[in-house]
Amino acid sequence: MFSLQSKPMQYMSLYLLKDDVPSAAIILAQSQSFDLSKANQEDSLLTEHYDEDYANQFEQALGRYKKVVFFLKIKLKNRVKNISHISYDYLKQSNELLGEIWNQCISFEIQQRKLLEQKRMINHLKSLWKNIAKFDTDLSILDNQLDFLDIRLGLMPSGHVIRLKKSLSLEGYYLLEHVQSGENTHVLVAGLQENQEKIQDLLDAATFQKIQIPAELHGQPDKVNSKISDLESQYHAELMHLKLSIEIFQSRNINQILQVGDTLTLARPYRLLSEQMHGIGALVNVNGWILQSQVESIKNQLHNALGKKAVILTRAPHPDEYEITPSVVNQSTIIKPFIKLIKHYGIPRYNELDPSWFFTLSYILMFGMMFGDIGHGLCFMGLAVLLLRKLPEFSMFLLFIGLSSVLFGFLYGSFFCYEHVFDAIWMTPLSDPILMLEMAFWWGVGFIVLLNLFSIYNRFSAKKIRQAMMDGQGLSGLFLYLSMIWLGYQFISDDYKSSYWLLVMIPLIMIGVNKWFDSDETHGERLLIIIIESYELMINYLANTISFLRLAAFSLNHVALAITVFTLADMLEGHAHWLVIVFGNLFILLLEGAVVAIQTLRLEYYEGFSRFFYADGFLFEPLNLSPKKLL
Amino acid sequence: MQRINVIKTTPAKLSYSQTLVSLYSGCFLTHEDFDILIKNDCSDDVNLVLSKAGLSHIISESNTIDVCSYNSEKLESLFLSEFINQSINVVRSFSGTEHDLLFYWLRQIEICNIKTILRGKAMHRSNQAIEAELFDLGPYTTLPIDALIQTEDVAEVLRCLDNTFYASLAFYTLKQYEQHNQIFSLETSVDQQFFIGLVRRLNMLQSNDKSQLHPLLGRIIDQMNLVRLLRYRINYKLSPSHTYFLLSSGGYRLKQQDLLNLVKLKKIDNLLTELPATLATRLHSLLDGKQQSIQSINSVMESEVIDFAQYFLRVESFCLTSVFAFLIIRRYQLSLVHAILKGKAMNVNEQLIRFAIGLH
Repeated sequence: MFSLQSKPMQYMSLYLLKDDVPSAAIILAQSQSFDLSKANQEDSLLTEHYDEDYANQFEQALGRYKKVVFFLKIKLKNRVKNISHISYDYLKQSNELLGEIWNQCISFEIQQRKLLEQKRMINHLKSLWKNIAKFDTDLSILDNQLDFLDIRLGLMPSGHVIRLKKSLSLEGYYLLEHVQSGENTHVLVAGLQENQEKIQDLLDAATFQKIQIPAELHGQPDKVNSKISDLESQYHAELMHLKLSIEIFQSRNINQILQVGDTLTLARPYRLLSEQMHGIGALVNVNGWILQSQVESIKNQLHNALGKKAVILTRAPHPDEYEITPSVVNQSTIIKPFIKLIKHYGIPRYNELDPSWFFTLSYILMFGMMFGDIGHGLCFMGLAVLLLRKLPEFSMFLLFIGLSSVLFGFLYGSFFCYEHVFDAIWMTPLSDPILMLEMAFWWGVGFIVLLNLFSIYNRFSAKKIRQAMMDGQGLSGLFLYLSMIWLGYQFISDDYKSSYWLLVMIPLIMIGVNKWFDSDETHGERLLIIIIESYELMINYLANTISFLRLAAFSLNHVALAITVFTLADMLEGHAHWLVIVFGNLFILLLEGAVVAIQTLRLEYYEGFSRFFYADGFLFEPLNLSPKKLL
Repeated sequence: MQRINVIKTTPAKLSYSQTLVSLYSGCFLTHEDFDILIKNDCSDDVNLVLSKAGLSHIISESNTIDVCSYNSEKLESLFLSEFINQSINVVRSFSGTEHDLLFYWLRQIEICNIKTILRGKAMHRSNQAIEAELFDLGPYTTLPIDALIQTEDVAEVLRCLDNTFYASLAFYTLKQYEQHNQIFSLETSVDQQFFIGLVRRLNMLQSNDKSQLHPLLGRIIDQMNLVRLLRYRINYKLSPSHTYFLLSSGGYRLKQQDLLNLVKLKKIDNLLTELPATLATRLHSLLDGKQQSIQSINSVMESEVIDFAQYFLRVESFCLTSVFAFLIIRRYQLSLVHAILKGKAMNVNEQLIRFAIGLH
């Protein structure tokens, strides 16, 4: 649970007979400890690829399966029954079955779209009727009922109207815009009957949709409204019928679909292995990453199942492979919301320090420092309890930051901004702002020193010795930073001597030498880069440290906001006074709470992670037999 | 209803774009450079031109020092990502309607991908074959490529676009496809919808920007309109009214009335004679001695657009149109370089390469 690094991994090379790969795939997937990602092919003699047909069938079936599951809203199972290898023929059969099911889903989808279209047309008919009802017209005129004239009432995209009007004029037709409704316009197209065939393609191209006026509406304007209502009722009945049909179809086919899901889950490990495997003749090679703790167990299982035909080689990843080695990040459920925030920034590279615990603790502490109030903290905790079922991860987050607020609230003696309910264990922030700023400053110094130590550790563990010693984030950087702080302190204490600058110059020279060797530019350019980047490094250290003063600034801000609320409330009496107190606290709770949460994250990301965290790793995703992970 | 967009590109940001355009314009190739590319097999000379075009790092990245043995798809994709990266850098500083228009213009590449998928599905090609032909836009992809590839047919592709930026394009194209069931109508509809969107965005610009940009974008629309008009009337034998409807508005020299007159004609000679005087003269001089085929007219019109873009970039002070001019020239030149390298890799002779790319 309390781990500071990814679990140790081993690089595994499997040399197998091609026919044994399906069994090996199932064993590896069951173990959930073998990941194929980014594993290089090492043996250049084994160049043949296998089973592209299997992969094609699988991919097509998987695509169909995802669409079917999404369309029919099917809940998936957690595990498969009857574990065995899926043959090509069986996979093909399942794919065909899925094809049939998906075809039926498509027809449902088309019916849904047609009904939507129908609904749209009814709405247009309603709006059309609203506009022409006042004329008391015989609607048959608008439905092509004249001997010599071709008249069509229709709906078309407004953007096409002008162009269609001009195009129709070439065939002697006239277009009249009637009513614009959303992105569409009702138009009336009229011309001589003898030309009607010429314009059909044109009207199709313009996506002109003829509005069919039901025959029963002809000549009876007074009955139109009730007929439109009938059309609406008919639409609702058809919609209900369609929904029912989909439900029946789902219940009839759900077992088959879940069974196909099992098939795909079982086929997936072999499909992934076959994509990566290379070989010559019957001999194939597959490489991947395996959890070190599982190596012996997997070797035994493979040897038991395949006999001596399987050759299994394992070794620790080389430092230059750390970038392509997957990481198992901290999976502690208690700090899951904080881990999510870390993942948002990046995944720790293999062998890099996992910042989960450090991030969690420092985030909680810094939040409390800026937002210390017993009452507000209890509100967060109360909200956490309320949301525990619906949003369990978010409620854990609220619980922790609430707890921190309560603790710092006791230190500051603040309860819903009242400072006399509890005596401050330490002091109220406004009683000595300078001390608050000093504390924040030293917290920042400690934070940066600690992260520099992490950075040095990461560089040593990646065998980047020169970087660890001489880089701006390495030992030299740390030496430079501490020298700058010490120099500044001596300056303030009036104990300053110019010879102290030597302490800053020595690490700066080391950093410069390191940069010199890192650069490929000409000598002049290198010198320029060193001067500019060294200056930037010093400025950054300074800016990063000053950035932590916000810890004090926000704790003072909290008190300042409270004073504002009380001043406003004191101007009022009775209920109004209490209303201002309640809404003022709510305002502080929501607005300042959100701002402080963001500012804390900003400190972690920019003053923290960017200093030591490569964050370019990727998660360990082993082969598995979970139907849910298919999607 | 017209959207009111009050965000304006600031002069400082415009200067940033101007600097980048000046920097990147140093990579433009001359006719002599293209000659060297076509004539020489020697990798040193060719590499010199490629490094002038800012492509040396790409060539070394693709391990293709010898241009005769490179992977065409890989190189095309590298060229495209180079173009996209430069375009995004240049376009980034714009905001409001200008930004919308520039990004809409860049979406042409995704439109190409949509057309490739539609064509592939209509011709029942395998998913792998379709995927291999798609342009990889990397982080700028907005299309759900995997879902589109996994569709069963054209109609499903279009339905799959429902929740994307291309929803309205897909909606009308689906209607077209349901009525005609032809690949031709699919691509026509996609192009038509793209140009409707382009002209709408052009009209939303401030009048100064619009009047500067219209001669350039209008020339592109002219090129599209003339070529499509010839193709629809002569190859597909569509009626004048249908042809006119499928053309785009917003042309520079081919106004709506000109198009109304031209669609009535059936022969290529008559059509060229009846073009507006300025365009007819220019076309005749450029087509001098060449066969009057739709392809040659297309390449002549294209080179006219490029000439104008180069002229604008050279002569006029920097503005939105300069960015468009840069994007158009850069894309055109990269496609020429790719076509030449591909032709050489396939041992196509010099003359044929020149003909294919319209460089005489």
